[in-house]
Amino acid sequence: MGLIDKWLRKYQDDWCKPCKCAMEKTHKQLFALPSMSVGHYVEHKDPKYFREHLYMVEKKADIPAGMYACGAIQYRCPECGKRVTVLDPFLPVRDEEKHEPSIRFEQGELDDLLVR
Amino acid sequence: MDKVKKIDLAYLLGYFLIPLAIAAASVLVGYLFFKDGGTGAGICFAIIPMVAILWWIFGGRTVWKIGKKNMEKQLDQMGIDHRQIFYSDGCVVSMDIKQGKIGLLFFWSPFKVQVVPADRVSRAWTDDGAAGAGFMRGTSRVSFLFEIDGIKVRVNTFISNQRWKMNDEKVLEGISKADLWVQVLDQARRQNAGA
Repeated sequence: MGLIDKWLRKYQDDWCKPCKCAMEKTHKQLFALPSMSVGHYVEHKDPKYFREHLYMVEKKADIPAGMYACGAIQYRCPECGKRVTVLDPFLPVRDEEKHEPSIRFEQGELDDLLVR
Repeated sequence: MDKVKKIDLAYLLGYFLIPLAIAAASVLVGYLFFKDGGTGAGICFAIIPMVAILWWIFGGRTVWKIGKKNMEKQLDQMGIDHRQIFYSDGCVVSMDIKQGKIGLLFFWSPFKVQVVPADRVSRAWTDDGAAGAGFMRGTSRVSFLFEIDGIKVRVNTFISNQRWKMNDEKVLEGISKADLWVQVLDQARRQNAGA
């Protein structure tokens, strides 16, 4: 595997590892994460947690100061049809964002999150 | 109704003057009774003045730590909810939104928790401390401020001896905390005024 492939596999969310190709973005949604506030962020990897604590919002301005937001993107591989949901928790601060490590769900755990 | 006091004058004077008086008395005793040197001279001229200096360096911080620990106990005794509390370098602010009460503890008044109704806060705002232009723009301090009984209280949410870019994670977190507290103070003030 070449260096570029390695980098893509490690850092690019929309990369289908088995097919070695970029996935299509099928859904995108912004959520509020009221259970997390500034200075108290804890990383969760349990999909159940996100099902219970994410609330759909229209825009970033709807999220109160000090509360975390979470961007969710769903990808679909055009070759194998696999779906991946990537959550990107961040703290909106005025015009800026403080991002936390993104979380990938590759087993279809949150497939219905964006289309419910 | 007691006004908010940021400085307890008796404590401030005692903090500086009592060790100074003890050190001066010790030097005087050393001069009068231990002119020829020896253990007594060592204690009077070196050890006691050194203890006074150590007190000035570390005493304030130690008393402040004890005061912060006692604050929660005092708030419990007063029946004030202190789940929403912010510890800063020179001030602790706790907020009971339900009762509309603010608990305050200051570095120079570390023994007395001052509880005041939130409607005595006349205004609250965030100071991001931004200075400089272009790529030099940055901050070394972010804080939220509020005016209570005409006294301005500054609570630092981020402080550094260096200047950081405005989009640095630490600065963003400081701004977010400050904005959150301004929002909380405004909410409590409105609620109390309405009640």
